[in-house]
Amino acid sequence: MTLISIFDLTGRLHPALVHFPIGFLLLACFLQLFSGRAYVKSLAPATTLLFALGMISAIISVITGLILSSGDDYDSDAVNTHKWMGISVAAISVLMLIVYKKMASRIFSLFSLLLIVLVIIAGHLGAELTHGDDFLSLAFEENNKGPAIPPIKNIQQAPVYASAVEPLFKARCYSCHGPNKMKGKLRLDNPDFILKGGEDGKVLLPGKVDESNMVDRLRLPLEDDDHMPPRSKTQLTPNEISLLHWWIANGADFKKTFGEFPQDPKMKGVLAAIQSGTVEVPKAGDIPLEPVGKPDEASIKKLKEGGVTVLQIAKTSNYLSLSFVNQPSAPDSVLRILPRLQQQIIWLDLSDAKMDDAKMKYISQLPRLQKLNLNNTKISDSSFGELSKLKQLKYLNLVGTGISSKGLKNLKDLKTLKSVYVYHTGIDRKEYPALKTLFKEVIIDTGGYFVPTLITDTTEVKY
Amino acid sequence: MTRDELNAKRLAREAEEIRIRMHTRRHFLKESAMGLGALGIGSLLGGCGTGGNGNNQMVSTFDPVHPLLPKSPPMPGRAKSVIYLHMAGAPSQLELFDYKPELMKMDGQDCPKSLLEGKNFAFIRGVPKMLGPQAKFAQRGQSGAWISDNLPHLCTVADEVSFLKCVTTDQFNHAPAQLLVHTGSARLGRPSMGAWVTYGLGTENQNLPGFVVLTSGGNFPDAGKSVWGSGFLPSVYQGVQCRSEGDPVLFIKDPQGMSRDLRRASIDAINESNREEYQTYQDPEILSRISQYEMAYRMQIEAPGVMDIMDEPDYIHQMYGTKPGKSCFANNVLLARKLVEKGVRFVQLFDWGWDAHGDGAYNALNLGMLNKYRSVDKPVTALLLDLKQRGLLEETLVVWGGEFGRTPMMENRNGAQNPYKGRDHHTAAFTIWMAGGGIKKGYTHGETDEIGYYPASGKVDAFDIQATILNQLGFNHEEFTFPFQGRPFRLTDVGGKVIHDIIA
Repeated sequence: MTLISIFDLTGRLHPALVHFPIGFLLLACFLQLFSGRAYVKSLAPATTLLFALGMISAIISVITGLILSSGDDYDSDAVNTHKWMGISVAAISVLMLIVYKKMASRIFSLFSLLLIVLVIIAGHLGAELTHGDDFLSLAFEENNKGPAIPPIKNIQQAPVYASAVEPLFKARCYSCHGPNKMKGKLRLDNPDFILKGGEDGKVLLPGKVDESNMVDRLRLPLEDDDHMPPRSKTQLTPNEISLLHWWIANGADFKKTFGEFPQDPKMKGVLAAIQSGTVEVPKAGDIPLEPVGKPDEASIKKLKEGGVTVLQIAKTSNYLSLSFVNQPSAPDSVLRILPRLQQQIIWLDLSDAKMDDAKMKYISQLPRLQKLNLNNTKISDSSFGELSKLKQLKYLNLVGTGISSKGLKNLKDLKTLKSVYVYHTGIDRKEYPALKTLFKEVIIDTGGYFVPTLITDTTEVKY
Repeated sequence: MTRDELNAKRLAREAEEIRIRMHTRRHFLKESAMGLGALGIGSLLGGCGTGGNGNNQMVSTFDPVHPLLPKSPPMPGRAKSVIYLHMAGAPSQLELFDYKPELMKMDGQDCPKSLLEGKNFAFIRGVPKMLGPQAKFAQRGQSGAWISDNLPHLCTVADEVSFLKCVTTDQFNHAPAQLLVHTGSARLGRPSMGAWVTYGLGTENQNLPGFVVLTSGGNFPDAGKSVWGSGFLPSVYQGVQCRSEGDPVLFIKDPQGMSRDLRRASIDAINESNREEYQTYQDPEILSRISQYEMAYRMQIEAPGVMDIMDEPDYIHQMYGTKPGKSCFANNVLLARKLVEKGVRFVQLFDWGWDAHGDGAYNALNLGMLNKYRSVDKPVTALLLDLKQRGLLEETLVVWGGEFGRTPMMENRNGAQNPYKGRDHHTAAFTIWMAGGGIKKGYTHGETDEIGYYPASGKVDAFDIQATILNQLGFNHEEFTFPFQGRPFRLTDVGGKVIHDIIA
């Protein structure tokens, strides 16, 4: 431990020590102001002692405070007012101790009132320095856990920095790296300061994400002392970190709009989430990113009355997931309603339902369908004409149906298709290589997996 | 006044007294003392804008008349259902997944002092000997995951699975550790994971419960039925324990001579009387009870079919290695697949008998435990492949694990060497794996130190696993709460971070 670090430590004790003069002096003033009253009578002899303790602790606080402010972590204007307020408190308390009992108590009471006001103002200003000047007003804010970046309309025309990065810094960083407080001598409240960096050097190198301290710090484990923001503060979401990452990797420009930045398919989900003002990143491929209007309530009611399970895929989404698990007969009268919700239905489960080729005409009118379960239904190759109209289809379950590879080939132009399950169908395992060359990007699962029975599976170890 | 009249009068007075007494005691004390207090605090706090708006949403989801109606998750989920395979007693990670050649070199040596200082073990006393791995290991599949020869079948599907190598816990006894894994608290009284999920999502198939529990291995888990209890959630969300032998649910068949109509009529009568009871006491638990009777009635039709594994073809039985007519883990695993296929949300399997202390041959790592490995290896492998070929693995999250791990030291119960090779309870690092339901394939998260004693990287705990499971089902674990005793409670209490590294 060097002399300098002891010096530094002394300064850092200031925020703790200041509570002593606040307590002593307020109590002393209170006893003095009400000295005539019966209920403080027995305490009156303590007044001088309290003024003395208050004075001593006020002086110590001033000294430690001066040491702390000699570091550059704080904005000098804000510190200055607090400093002079604090010094006045100490000075007046010295004065009061000297003149106590030598002065008419009327006039002395005025001093007490003045001291109370000064202590409160100095204390408040000090608290603003440590907790940030929005600390009290935060209590009135509805919800500060939500997204730091407000929803952006016309995202392609919006400037990246001004509409996304700056609000993010403002919400999550300014309280320590802003005009009032400059932890690590770093400010993030305008482009010049951001590029200048802090006492450990630059925080971001445009175009070089891996060498940019800022992204590193965000990604450190929460337990790490160097992790930013500190553990106790609201953390950036993975979404927000990805945005910063992308912004820095592409040159950290302060003027360009989203449209002018290189487009990255990986960013699509992140941008969509920012656009709609949500915190979560929708996993690319799970749900369509385009927002959709509210579904027709009357049709939903009819489907529910018909025994169909109708659910929004998430509470915040208008897209629908339908299941016929409680309505296995899937009558035409119910299926006929589906096309009225063609913009919203993206998942449809008809497993084990009484489906046949004739009923497929209702399904093919659902152009946004991504996930379709037709397993264990009576559909055959004749259904593929209708199925191939589902241009957004990603998951298709045909297990236990009468289809063959001849029919399946009709789906080869579906660009979005990811997985097709054809276990227990007319498709033979031998046809798999041919299908695989036709569907290069698609997982075609013919199933029929076999777990051999080893000798150990049927015997027990004797002991 | 005749004697009968007198009796009738007396009975009526008694009934009235009982009614009043119940009303006063339950309602006056509970509603006025706690209710008014809570009301006061609630209105005080209500004005302070404490409301994360998520909380209020969840509060309103409990509908006592239709408690099991399917509900949307807050976020789009990657998984629709969960099969949790719990090896009660805690399997040894050092004989299955955590390959430690360094430990082999230390086999038979005294345990270094540094590993024992300040440590509490369930049974180890004094200085135990180190015990090398009691299995041969190799890297499996394209991912190169280490799996021992004890699980020859699972080796073939290593590329479907994500391993968590550094799961930690702070409980070294079975019951509290199991409670922690499944309810988020080592103490009794919290709802289990399945209960939370059913509360949040309801059940898709209205003829089957949303949360089914199956046990095997000859015993219940040490923590008892609380590991699938509903805690402070309405009791309709507790796990429904089914049997894999005989009738799936006791008394599911109507007794001889009772027709379906008579059953209906008697349930109607019971429900009517319950509704009157509800009018008097306004206790939502009564509504839960009514809906439970209704579900039981519907289950009588659907359940026997779904729960009967005998309608599966022979090759499926061979694949899982079932023992038809007996109660065993393989039968339960096959049943779990059938239930998930029919829209059951959460299936929890407990297999008892993994407590490999080595105080007898039956629980020695190189004797009795081999039979345990054999009894789960084939069915679990078959489950993954069967779910996969049915297109279900994408949306079914399978979790396999115990409540803690086993020590790299050989157990010396009360200071004396155990007669067989066994290990004591170990809390600092053990292995759990997950597959399907949007989890990465062929990935290993975390690494233990050279002898598998402490985590070296990628440490996770029960809360992290719970947070991850909820995340895959579409919940933010921090906002998924239930108000109880004046504050919102959540499964992960105050902990838990979603393990993003294992999410595909």
